[in-house]
Amino acid sequence: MSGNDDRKNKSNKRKASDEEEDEVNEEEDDEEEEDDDEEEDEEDEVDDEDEDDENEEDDRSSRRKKEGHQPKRKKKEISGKQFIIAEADVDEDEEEDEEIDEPEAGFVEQDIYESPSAADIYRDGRLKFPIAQDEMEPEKVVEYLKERYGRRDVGLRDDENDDDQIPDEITQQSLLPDVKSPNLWPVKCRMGEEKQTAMLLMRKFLALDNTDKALQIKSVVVKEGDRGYIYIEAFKSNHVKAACEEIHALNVQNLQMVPIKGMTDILRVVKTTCGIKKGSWVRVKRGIYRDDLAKVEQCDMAQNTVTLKLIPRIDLTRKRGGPRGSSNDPSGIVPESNQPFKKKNRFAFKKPPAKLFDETAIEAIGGQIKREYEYRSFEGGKYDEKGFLIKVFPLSAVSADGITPTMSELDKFEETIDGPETNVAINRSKTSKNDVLSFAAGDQVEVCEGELVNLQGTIVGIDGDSIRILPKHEALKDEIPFKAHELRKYFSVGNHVKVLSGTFEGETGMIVGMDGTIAIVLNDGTKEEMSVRTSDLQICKETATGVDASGQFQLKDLVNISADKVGVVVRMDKENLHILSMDGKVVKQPIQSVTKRRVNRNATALDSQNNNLNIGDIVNVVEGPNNNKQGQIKHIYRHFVFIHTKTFNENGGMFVAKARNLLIAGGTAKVTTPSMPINAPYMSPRTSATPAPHRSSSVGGGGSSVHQNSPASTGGRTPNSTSGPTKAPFSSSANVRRDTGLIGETVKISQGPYKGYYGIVKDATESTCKVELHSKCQTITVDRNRIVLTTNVSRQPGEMSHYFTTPLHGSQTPSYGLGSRTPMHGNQTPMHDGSRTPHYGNMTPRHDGSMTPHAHGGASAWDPNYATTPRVDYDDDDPSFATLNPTTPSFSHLSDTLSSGLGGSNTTNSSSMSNSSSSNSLGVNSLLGSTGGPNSISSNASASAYSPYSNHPTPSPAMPMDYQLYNSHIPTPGAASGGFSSSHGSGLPDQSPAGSYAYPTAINIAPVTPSAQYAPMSTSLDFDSMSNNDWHAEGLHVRIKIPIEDESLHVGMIGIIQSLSVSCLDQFKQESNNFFQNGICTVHFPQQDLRVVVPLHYMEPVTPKENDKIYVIGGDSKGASGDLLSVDNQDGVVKLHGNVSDDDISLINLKYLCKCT
Amino acid sequence: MFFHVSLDHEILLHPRYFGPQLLKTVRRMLFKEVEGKCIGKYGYVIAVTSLETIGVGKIQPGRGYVIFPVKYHAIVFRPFKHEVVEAIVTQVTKMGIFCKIGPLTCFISRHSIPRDMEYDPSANPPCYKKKDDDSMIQPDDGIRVKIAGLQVDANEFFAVGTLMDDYLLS
Repeated sequence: MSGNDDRKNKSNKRKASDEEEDEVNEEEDDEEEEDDDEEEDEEDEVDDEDEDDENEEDDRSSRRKKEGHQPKRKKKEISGKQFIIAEADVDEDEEEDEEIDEPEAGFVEQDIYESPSAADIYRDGRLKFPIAQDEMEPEKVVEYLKERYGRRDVGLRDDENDDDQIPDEITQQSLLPDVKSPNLWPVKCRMGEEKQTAMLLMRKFLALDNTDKALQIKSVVVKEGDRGYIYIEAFKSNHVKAACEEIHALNVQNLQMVPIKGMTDILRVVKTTCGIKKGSWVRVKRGIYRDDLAKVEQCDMAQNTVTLKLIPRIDLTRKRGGPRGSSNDPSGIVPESNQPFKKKNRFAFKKPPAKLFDETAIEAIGGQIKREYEYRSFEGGKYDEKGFLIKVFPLSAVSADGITPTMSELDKFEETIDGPETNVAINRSKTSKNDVLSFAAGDQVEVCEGELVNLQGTIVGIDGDSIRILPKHEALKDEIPFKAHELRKYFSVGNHVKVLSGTFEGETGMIVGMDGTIAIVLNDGTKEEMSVRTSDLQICKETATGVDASGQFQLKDLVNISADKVGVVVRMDKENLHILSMDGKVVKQPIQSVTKRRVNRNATALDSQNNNLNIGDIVNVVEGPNNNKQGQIKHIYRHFVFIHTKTFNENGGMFVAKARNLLIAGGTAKVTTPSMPINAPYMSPRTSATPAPHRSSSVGGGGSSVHQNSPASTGGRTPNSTSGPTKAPFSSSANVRRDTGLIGETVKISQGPYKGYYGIVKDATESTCKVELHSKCQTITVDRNRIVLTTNVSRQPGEMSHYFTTPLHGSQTPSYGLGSRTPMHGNQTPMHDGSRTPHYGNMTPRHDGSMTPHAHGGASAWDPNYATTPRVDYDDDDPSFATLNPTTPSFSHLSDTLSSGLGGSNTTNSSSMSNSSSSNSLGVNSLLGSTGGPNSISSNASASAYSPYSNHPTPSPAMPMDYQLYNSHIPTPGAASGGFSSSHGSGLPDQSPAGSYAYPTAINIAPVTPSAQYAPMSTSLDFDSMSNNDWHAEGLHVRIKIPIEDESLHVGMIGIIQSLSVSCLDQFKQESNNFFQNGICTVHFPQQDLRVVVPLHYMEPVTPKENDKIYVIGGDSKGASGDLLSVDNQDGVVKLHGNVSDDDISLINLKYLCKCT
Repeated sequence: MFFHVSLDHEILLHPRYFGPQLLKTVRRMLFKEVEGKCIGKYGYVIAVTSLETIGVGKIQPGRGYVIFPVKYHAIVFRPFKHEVVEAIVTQVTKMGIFCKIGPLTCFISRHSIPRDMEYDPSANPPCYKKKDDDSMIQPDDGIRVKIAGLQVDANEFFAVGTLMDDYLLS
């Protein structure tokens, strides 16, 4: 018997044998034993060999797997039939068995009787059954039978799937293992030999059954997923160990039992393939078709195979020739692995590329194609008429979970597959668990399968994989459960939805159209259309914020694409940003490669009319590709302006334009704050220039600083720098609220605590202005009503003119004193002068410079307006003014160094000329300038409250000297005026830089050769020498300081200016280009009783002596007349007539005084 | 659809308005704040017809502002899904048509425009044109639209319309 038993175990392989469950279950049940008895004979012969050779057996088992399904089934049926018979027959035996067992392992029996636990359920029934049969009435027998089979059914159902008749929860519970049921022991097993080992154990069990050493284990379980373990059911670990003895594949050390609760988990059956059905999409797991999408053509659950339709990969590069082994192996895996070699090239792809079967291509490489019905077969593959490969795969080689075919993949199928079917298929593909997830309570769904197809409803709940919906149908009022794959989401046009997956994941929008299962969604953010599968949509209320996953970027953000490229985010998907770059193209950039740009709220640009553009402004495009569009500025980057418009759908309404192509619309809500420094650069150069000189002067009066400013301003973008169309820019810039016209003006504060202070306007609006006080290092804000423009104020003559006059005088004298006779020459020919002492040079120019004002105005030098001119001009918006700027840079360069100041300017005559000429054209001043001249002026200016230079807190030391000199030198004020004007009229081309300079500075025209002038200032000498301009007045006593051709006149002769005229002396001009415009005056020399017309620059004022009548030709009180009471060193104590200042007596440098009659 | 409804509003008033004109100011503010605005629930407030009550103002602690609860009647325009309205075309693009239904902007996707109407980008202005007859849709035309969907923001509605129905278009 034992021998028989040994054999039996072969047949015993009746293991649940359900491959789906991948579970080998060996039950040592009486029942099975009986079966075995029956089968024993059948299998005897075979078993003989198998016994010793595990491998062989294994082969067999696998063979069985393939071929043996049918037989096995049969066997099952047979055994089922036999069961009853066998029971009847063998009943006795069985009982005996039990009895035999009992003494040995009594507890087992007890167990069985007392608790019909899950594990022993069969046995339980078994044990009862005989009794029933013996003694019970037929009905009871029936009952018993029912119970048995009923239970059995439950068990089976459990394995396969839950059926609907569910009293099962309780029965299920009763089946669960409890403390009294045997435990489960995982035993380590050699990898890959789990199944063999299980079989071995079974054989061992059978072999030892009914012997002393009978194994006391209850079952052996191999779980497919757990590699390296088998599970043995037994009551004690000893039993397990005993069973495992001498089985080398098992390692019983460290045995640990599975906790009762864990047991169910171990044996839980995972359903894998139930999702696969005809028409669904799957992916192949292995072989050259790995990851390829395939469509299920047929599904044979019994065989565990599926027939797939997929795009073949045939290696077309390999030549086929000769006989081809038609290895037509329908069981996928094996051929699959060989496929790379086997398959012909279909197309060229990575493995072999996926391409539909192409007969000609195959024949071209020598392949042979057989035709069978509608299929063509080639090298074992079957291809349908469309070129798809029809192939059988084992279920295990296919994954059906969560397959979402991409559009492109579908396209490939779609091209060839009939369209509509595919769409259905897409939906069907959603049968996996993912599907359930993609549904949510509240979704509108439509039934797409089954009897209720096209029924619509709302999901009310989801339990596991069944979805309850409330149908929208009059006749149906109850909730109906559906499986996920039977439903598809249903949307109607106008639904607001969110995209759950795909390229548009996270976007929201409104459905504007439906095309089968594709919905066209109008994106909320970008107002673009997206085509999305309905299965990827979900109704939602909220609107996407347009923030990317990391929260870093938002739609319409300005980002850096590369170092010098920026763009605006117009769309974002999961990994990429779509960026509208500044050249107007949309580029796709991975999020990581992009950095956010800080928003610069102050960014501005100039539009076509030179208006400032700020972020938020509404602009019209007047030129370029986006002509006629209107929108709001979102970002400004250099001259690229990113504009958002609602009337334009591309790129979410964003487009880019150049600032120059824009025109700001009407009014913008934003007022440019006047103090905003950033605006300055965009303003007209004039305005920008204005503040500059001041600043620089305040810095220390360094010529260089002025310098810097001037070039800047000239360099300025505005057209002003070019002498031509100066006017326009000014006017345009003026339309900003800021009152640029006032900036740079010297004003007097007329009311309030600061009444009487002078200062320069640094900034101005319509109502207030900022004034930098001359006297204090302070900038205050003053009401516009409380300031008076100094230029407009009627000043005493002295006040006004002092700038110019004083310094000149000062400068004059020294040079004179030096005895240099030909200053004029020097001046005229700069080069000459260059060689000479700087003083000379300096002197002369001044003269000329002094002339200018007159010339300009054509009025007397004393005329306040002209004297102060620069401002005036400015106010008048005299275009010529603007031209001043250009001169500067070069000029300043020339004059940069003091020594070269003269020479330099002279030598570079032409350049200076050109510069000066431009300045001339302005008509500003005739000043020619010797470089020196300007200096003196500037210094004067510093002394005077008006000039920009006044910023210097301390007047230059030279000042007093100048006064003195002046006094001494100028006898007759007023005489010169005539000459000046005339000279001016003629407009000598050579302007002294000084002249132009002096004005400009005051005006803001910083650019004019500042440095040259500045440098000299520092020395009193220069100072003196330079001041030559416009002190002349009628009645002044003057001395000839330079020899004149006219023999009758000698240096040192003293005369009185009788009349002044400013004109150009042509002959002078001709004599030397360098000679500048000059004034002439008629001088009466009382001693000789001569009346001679003398150029102004030939003369110097006569310094008065005590008790002389004087005329102030420079300094604060310029233009005043009075008496010189006494002389104190360089200063004269003067009593002025007419109350120029509060106190009648004042101290004035002698050089500012001139004797007069 | 238009409704005449009773609504509430709170006016926040700066102390500088406290004075003899107080209530007048409140009224003025109400008009200013409410008319032309969109209330998510009720739609666009077209006009305030009458003031029911101006409640007692409450001073806001620490601020000096006063809140006046105001009840008023107003005519509101509330668009509904499936409502058929008349609209004026504002813009025609190849994606579709934008039109205004009073204050409401409505977009009609080209998918919702009858198939026989085709976009003609060459026309000036661009328009949708029927091939067989001359009827066309171009900016400033009046059309009849069915509202297919509504998107309600806090202070704006956006509608998606359709022309694919009987008696629509014109």
